[in-house]
Amino acid sequence: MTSTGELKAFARKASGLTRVVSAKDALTYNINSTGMAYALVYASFGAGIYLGLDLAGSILPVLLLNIPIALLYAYFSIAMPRTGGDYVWVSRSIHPVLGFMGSFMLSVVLISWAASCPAWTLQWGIAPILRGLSVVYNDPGLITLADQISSPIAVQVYGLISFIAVAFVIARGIKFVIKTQWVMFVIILVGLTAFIVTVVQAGPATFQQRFDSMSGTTMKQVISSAVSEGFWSEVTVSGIFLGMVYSFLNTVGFNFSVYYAGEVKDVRRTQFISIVGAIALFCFIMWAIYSTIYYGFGREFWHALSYIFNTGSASYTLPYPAFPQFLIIYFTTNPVVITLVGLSFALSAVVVQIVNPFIVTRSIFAWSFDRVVPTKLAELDRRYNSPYIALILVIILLMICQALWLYTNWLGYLSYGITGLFISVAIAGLAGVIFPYRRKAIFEASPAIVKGKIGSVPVISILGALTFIIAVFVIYATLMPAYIGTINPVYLAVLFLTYIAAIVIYAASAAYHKKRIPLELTFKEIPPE
Amino acid sequence: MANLRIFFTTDIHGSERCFLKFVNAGRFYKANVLILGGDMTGKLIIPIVERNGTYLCELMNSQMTAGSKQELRNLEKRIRDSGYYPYLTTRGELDELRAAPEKQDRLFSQLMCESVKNWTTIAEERIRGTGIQCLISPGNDDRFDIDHIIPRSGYVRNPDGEILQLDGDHEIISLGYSNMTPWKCPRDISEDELAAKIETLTARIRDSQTCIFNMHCPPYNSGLDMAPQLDQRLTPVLAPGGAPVMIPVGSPSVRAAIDKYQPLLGLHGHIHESRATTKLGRTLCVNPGSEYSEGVLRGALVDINGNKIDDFLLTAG
Repeated sequence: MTSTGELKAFARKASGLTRVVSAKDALTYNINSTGMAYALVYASFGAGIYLGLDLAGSILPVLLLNIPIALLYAYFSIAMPRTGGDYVWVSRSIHPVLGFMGSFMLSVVLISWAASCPAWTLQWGIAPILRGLSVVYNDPGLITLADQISSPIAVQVYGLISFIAVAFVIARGIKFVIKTQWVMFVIILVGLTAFIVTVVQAGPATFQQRFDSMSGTTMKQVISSAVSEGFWSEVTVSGIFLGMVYSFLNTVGFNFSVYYAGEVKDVRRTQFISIVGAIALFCFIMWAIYSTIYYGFGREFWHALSYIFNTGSASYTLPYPAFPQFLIIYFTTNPVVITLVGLSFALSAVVVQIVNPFIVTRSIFAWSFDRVVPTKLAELDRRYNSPYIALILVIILLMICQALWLYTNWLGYLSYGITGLFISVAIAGLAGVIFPYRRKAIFEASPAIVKGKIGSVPVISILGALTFIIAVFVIYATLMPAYIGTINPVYLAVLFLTYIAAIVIYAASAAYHKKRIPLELTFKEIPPE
Repeated sequence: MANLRIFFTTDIHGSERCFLKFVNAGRFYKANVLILGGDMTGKLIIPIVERNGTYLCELMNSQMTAGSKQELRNLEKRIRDSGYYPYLTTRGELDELRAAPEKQDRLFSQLMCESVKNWTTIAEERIRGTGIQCLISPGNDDRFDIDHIIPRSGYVRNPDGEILQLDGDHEIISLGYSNMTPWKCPRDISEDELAAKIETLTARIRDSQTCIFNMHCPPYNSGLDMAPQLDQRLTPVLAPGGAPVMIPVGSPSVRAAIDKYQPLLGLHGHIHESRATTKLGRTLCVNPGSEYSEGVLRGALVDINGNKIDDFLLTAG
């Protein structure tokens, strides 16, 4: 039999397409996009809101449920390695208006989340460092400083400066964005490692002794207060399943490399490593953090403390939130460790503050290319090849959203944003189901891995169906009363209004172009026959 | 003044599926003029060898087999759709070709010419009687062998190096050459030579206000020409963070001509990953990029009304 090597193709000297973002870069970017150290905060939210949840135990189901989504996004990105991600796949496989709706919702949510990042950086990242150091150096002035930098006006001033800095980073183009990601990835990882090592080394006995003597309350008191207010610590199946929503929330971002897939080198290898690798590694990081918290604080105490903190109970007497970066002081007085742990959280917020607007500018750029929004928004800066008008728009929106976040409760109306994101994931799932049938040519031209079948059913269709089912579960869980306290019809209406806004924008644009070149021609396939 | 709808695509690199879509694009998009802006020939020959009644080849790192003549035809079609040239051969000839690069080279020319001839015939059959004009010009990657295959007149024609009148008002000048690339392609020339060729054409323009520049190479530093910087081994130069260094690689001569003459429209390709549109003064410049290997025809639809661009859309059809 003729060997594969003997049948090798003849190549001639010709110019070549060169894709360039490496697997390592994309992996780092995707892990960073999750906001790695946010797990510290979600450990409190999850434990406090979902009674019966086992944080560490929820990670394996989260990983397993994310695998079909990760594979679907990787498969799609390999089949259609284009910048724009699910906007492109959904537009091509189902309809452009659905692609735009999903992308618009993602952008709105990412902007609203990025708007809160300056506050998270200062209040939950830098303030715990100052509070910890005030204990180490016995300097009450540092507590005053922590309070001052946590004030709305300080957060706003820092926010305005940092948003301009973010614009500078994004305007320098993807290579500069990825460079900053690498630096922050290393610091965050060092900070989280310092947290884990310190807590494990000091152990629960040290924590109990120091907490009971320094905090003004005791572990027993915290637990008994919580129990008297309805808390229980037994693990329940429903607690695990509903509590997983928060872990899901924390994993949003692990597949963001699909949004710049047009710049990814060796897309088959890179997207698998970066997407599947990111969710696996990040789940491991979350598991390590949650397990460390359970070991150091004790599961019952951690859940009880989180419960009275998150329910706003009067029995919560600590002068700061029930987050590990504040409580690290009960494990160590090492100023370097205290600083590194706080810094890991602060930088996670900074990373999200860069990643989210970056993805939004890419999305706006893609819409503008398809003329759903004015083409002016796709104008590139000559020096750095960055869509500067889209970027200016995003930065202005961030500044407005930050003010809304600080001084009004308007962004609360987007509490169902995560629901919206998973509606978009569900739509991407549907696109996966029908892709091999509606876009047969692209499917057939895809690399062999994408064209795999189980029996006669394409694997990508199976992944699409699984993704759809999982997304529907998450949508259901985020709509459960426990998620934001109660089902708020106004919040729900805002979610649907966001989609309506997307439809209105698309319809207005389609009407404008109808007498010229219709929008729907963008992704319509020309029959070759 | 007359209205024109132009469909422009480029860099399909041998993909028969993309070419067939291109010739159907006129009716599909209701365009009066179809333009294929160069780099139409493929880069790989896929040898197919018969062994005991089974045909074997290697495609995209997978071994493919065909057990019958019909399956062989399907396999050949699939290879052509992907932009490659299927070549049914024997083990003996395969060994000869491996040993003699000049024979490989001749085979490439032969297969390219056969393919372009076949495409031209298909285009003529499908476009005849529709009133659509179809311009197929070579690009820097295309060998000179193919030039004589596409007719210089008729409704399917090669406009390279000429000024054509599209209608009563609009002229188009076409040039497939590009500035030097690291691959030293057949139509890579120095900037000075490129500037001279452009000047020869532009000197004969009647009215630049309504003129269209169909130049394969994009204008320098226009956003249509961003590509990774390559080192001597043709691998991307990486910045300290591991990210690629992107640089403009377009032609300063093309840029100077556009800046000087300010035509109505600039149609460009060459840099697949630099799908973009931009305005250089009053000139709308377009590079639709390329996605040929996936069988997707990337293009640009442009509506022209007199000396104005009414509307445009980048397509992925």
